[in-house]
Amino acid sequence: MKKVLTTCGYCGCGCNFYVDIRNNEVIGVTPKQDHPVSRGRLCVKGWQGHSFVNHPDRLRHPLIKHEDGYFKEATWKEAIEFTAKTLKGIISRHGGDSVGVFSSARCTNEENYLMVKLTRAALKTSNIDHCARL
Amino acid sequence: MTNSIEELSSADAIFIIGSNTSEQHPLIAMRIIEAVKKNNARLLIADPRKIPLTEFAEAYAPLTPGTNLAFINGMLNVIITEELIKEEFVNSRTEGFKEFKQSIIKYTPEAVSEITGVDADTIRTFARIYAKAQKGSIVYAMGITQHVTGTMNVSALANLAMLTGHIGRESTGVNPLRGQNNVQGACDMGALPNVLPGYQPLNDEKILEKFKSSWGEASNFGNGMTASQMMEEAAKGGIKSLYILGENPMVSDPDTQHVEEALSNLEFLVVQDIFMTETARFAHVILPATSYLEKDGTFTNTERRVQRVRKAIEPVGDSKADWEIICMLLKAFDCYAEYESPEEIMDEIRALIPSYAGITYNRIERVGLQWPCPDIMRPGTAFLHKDRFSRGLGRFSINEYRGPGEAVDEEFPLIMTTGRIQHHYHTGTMTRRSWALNREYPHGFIEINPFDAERFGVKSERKVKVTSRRGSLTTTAIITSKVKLGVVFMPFHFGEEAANKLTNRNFDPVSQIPELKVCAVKIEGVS
Amino acid sequence: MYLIKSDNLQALLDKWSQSFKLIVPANENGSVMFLPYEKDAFTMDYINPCMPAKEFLFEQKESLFNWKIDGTLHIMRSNTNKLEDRIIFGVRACDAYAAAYLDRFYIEEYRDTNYAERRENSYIVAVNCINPGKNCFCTSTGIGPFAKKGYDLSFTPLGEDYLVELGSQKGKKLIEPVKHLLTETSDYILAEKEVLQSIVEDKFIRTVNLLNMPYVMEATFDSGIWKEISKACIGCTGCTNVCPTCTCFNIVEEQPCYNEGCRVRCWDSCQSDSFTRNAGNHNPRNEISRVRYRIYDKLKYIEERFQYKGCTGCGRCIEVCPSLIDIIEIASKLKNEYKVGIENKRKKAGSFEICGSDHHERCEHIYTPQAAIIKDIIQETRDIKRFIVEYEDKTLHDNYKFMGQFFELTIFGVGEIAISIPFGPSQRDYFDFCVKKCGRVTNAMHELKAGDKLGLRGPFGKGFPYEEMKGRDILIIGSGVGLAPVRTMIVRIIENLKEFGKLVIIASATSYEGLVYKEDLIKWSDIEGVGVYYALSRHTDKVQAHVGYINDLLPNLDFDWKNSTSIICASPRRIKAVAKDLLSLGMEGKDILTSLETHMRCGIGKCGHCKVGNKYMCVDGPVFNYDEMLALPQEF
Repeated sequence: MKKVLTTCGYCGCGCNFYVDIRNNEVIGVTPKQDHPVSRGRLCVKGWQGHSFVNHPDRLRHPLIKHEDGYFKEATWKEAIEFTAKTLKGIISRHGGDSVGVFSSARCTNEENYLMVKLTRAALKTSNIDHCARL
Repeated sequence: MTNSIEELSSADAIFIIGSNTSEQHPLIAMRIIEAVKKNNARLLIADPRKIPLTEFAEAYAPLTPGTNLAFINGMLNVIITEELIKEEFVNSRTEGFKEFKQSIIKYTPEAVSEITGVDADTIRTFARIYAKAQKGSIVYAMGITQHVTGTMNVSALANLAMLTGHIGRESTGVNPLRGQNNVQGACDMGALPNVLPGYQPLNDEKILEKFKSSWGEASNFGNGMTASQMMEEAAKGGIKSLYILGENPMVSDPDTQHVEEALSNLEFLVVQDIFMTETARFAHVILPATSYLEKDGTFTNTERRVQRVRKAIEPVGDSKADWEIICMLLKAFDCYAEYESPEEIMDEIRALIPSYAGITYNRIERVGLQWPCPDIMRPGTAFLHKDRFSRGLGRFSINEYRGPGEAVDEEFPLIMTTGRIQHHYHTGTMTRRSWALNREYPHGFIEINPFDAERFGVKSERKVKVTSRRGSLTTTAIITSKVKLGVVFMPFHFGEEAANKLTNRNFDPVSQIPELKVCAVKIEGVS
Repeated sequence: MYLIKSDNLQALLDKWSQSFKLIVPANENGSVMFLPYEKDAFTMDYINPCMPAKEFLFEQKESLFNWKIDGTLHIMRSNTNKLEDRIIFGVRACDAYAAAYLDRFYIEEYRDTNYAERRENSYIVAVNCINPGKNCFCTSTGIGPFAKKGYDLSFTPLGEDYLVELGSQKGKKLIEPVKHLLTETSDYILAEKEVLQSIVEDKFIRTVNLLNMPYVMEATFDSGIWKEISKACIGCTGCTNVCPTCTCFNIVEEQPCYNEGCRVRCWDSCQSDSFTRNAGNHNPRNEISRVRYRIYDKLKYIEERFQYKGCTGCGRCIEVCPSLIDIIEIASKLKNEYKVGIENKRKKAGSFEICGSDHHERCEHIYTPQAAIIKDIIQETRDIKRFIVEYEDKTLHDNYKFMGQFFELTIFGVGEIAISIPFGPSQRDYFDFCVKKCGRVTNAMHELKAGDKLGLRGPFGKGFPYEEMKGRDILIIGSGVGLAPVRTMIVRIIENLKEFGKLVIIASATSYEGLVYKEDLIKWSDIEGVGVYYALSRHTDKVQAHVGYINDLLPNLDFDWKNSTSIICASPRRIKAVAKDLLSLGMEGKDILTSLETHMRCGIGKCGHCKVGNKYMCVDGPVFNYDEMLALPQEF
């Protein structure tokens, strides 16, 4: 049994709490008492909003859509290679401006930074935005 | 936020506009309640719905959606007319006052009352209480930004703060409550088409040098398209491919029909997410990512505090952390991506973004740091603009009121405003799969005023058909006097009764934010 | 009684950790919490961990049973029995007292096997407080600052030593391995302890006089304070999560794939609006009664029912509320409102006895259902089906004892629902249940076919008092599907008609098609001594029916009202309307019986969903008489 301190993934308050883990499963949370924002309190999403993590609907494998319109499981190697190849093809045929990237306000700073780098340095397009406006 | 969340407890006047704080930012609402209960702070709330926090408010202004700018200008008018200006501040820290003052003359409380539906005396009360306070704090959220005049609304609030000197000091300021866990961070990292990471301009040679040497000479440093522009182009065929990370435009973007056209038109759509969303169904490749409980990294909250995110459990199935997936792609494009951990990525970020330079994982092990934090010896910054603004002097802007992009008429007589409820988050992918949250609100609904309900034959908890100029949907009616006459409210979390089927694609010209808070609808009972 | 030098505390813990799993207060990134023992993180510098020690006895989430259908239905109890012995060290008086209450709550009457097994393996070692927190008020509740109950060993810091006292026989097992570190001491030390206790009591900043609180609360039930609080409360559920005496849980089905799954239970909160919501969307509590209920439970209902304090005075709920709701403030305000001599308009709650149970003789694990199979399905009305069900293991029918009032039916992968027993004791080889389609579980059940599997738990509940009704005229009224719960009495009475006076049955519905057991009704009407009447909203050609209300039929029944018993199963509004007329005809409230089946989930008085006032509908009911019904808070 362990408790891991982390930042909430819901709203912009950025409360901190400990996730209570048993056997690699999230069983509950414990608030962080001296946190400058939450001060030992949480809202209903902070207390109750983590049981989705092990939901059976979670995407567990890369998926590629086949000709028949159905998704089939693929390996990471296949999925990444296919993605890179297709994007390169589109860029070479239509130019970098034909590609756009939606980064995510739910992902970490590091991930957002890498998305910006991917967009501008790898795909060589400037079309990057995220869901801030929503 | 210009200031910090903690400081709200010590404000003596708090003006909330466009924020349902107790439901969307409960821990910030806690500070506001504390300010009212323990420090007798005077709370002013302007909102078309009688939100829970109005229980603690001294004054409540039920304004019509889309009229925020008129309301704020009305307050500015009263402050100037009744000579409640903070002369010293205006003289020493601002410019452009004369022209601005001229532009405000016409926004008398009576004129504004006509536009907003709030009586003139209430407007005066708001202005007086805010202006006369020692430490007045403005709190706002998407309630005022998701309009065609969103940018002007915020500029008007900046005017309000400068006029009264309630900025650059503790417990004052103009405080937008950012909705998502890392929307602040995503902006800081430059996930925007018109700036570099750290809001650094795209056309500064020295800054470009720095990025070129890190990313490569051939990187694209141009000004790109916003998300809504990309959607428009995708529908027209200009954009051939989209890579969507952790977002569900089919439910969250305005005018669902248009989104569907745009996504169907793409040659290649990559979606990286944790669940099969309505958007992911259009994808050609789906990359399974991990949630915030399964990876390390940092989030930046609304008060600019950069905090640790820690991996609590192993990734589910064969999903990978987003940073690992993006690294695989970077490598496939021959870009440098040899990071052993997110901490190493942060080291690279620190070298490129001055305001993050002093923020290391070590320093934020126990508690986060607020940027700007330019070096590792200095603490973070609690509030901004203490001695000067980023441009030097603050500039009063002229913001002429104009009505919403879509007006009601005989056929569509009600104003529909969209928003959120406490128990759900965005398109509900996480909250609708958390049993305790989903149990509270398993389905969507529309809130309607009792008089309007009577007028349109709507019965409580029965099905209704709601139609706009773009489409229609069926949902359940909740009759409540929380909403103003002539206004209906729908939360947008429920994909099968997506409020955005009805919303329009009018955008603020500067920020490109859609007008999600106003559209014209009609409503009828369904037997 | 022993003494141990404070310096030797670490050595004692080291020794214990060799043969027990040891849980101690530990500093993890700035907060002190109960965590597995690690030398570096262990600390004695704390007031009280944010989460109570109850999280080790009654876990935030635990598995009840797994199931799998691969041609055969397999139901397997999840393993809690591989637990090591463990010591929870550093528990304050509040949490120790709560452990004693949790033992009373979970183990007695129906034995909660999961809790009981975990409790057997756990040792509570209290460490008494000498520095109270700013919101602690255990001196006001009378259970602190020094532990009085619920511990196996207690440590009290006295100067450079700790006084170690035994709290139970179990505690002796802890003394053995560390005897070499302890020195025996005698009673004289208790005087020192008492002096210290007084000093500590004086340090408490907040106090409130809770004497006679249950009476105060009885009188101030309709106080305006609840409306105020309901406006502030955002239903975050923090208060119930951190409360050491909160016991409510929800049963959740987890289903990784179509033919297997797991039933788990998770902490639940009466502060969620939907906690009491029934299928059909009826919620007996509104936002005012919801916030009121928690305080009443803590300061009145638990004490009345179990003779334990419901609130330990730990103050955690105050520290965790984002709306700054404060139980001490509330208690003080209620006391101020209470004046001696105020007329209490509410009927005083009667005394009651909590029914015991022999259920644990009948099955090993009370939360695991028995496998059953659907033999046949009959469409009674447009939205009501009757399911004929048998246990897969036929011997269960042989050993079946008729009792109770309802079964809990499991639809695997979907959920569980309480359905009343409509049959009598002579029906042993199969069961039948009338199920109305009105929610998620019943909708799923309506999709099942003959041959599909179900789970059965029970029977549970307090049934109708058959013996006491003998020799009397009996009036039985069932509205819509409400005829099913009362049918059990109809068939029993008809089988022994000579032991009763007249029997009159009134079946009511909007239309004839909305009635259940239509054939039975016709059959019964042919029996001498039995009268069957219909009260419908719409005319029918099928039978001779009164178009109108049940009440219209009452005056014409030639009953000896003073010596009659009536049973009404209908909506609470209808029950009250009919009871009113029956009372004016000369019946007494204690002879008007009803079945209040609000949102029963576990069926054994543990999960809290059906609790009304200090009564659990599933254990103290669902059968109540009208006087008892009126004495309950009207939240059902």
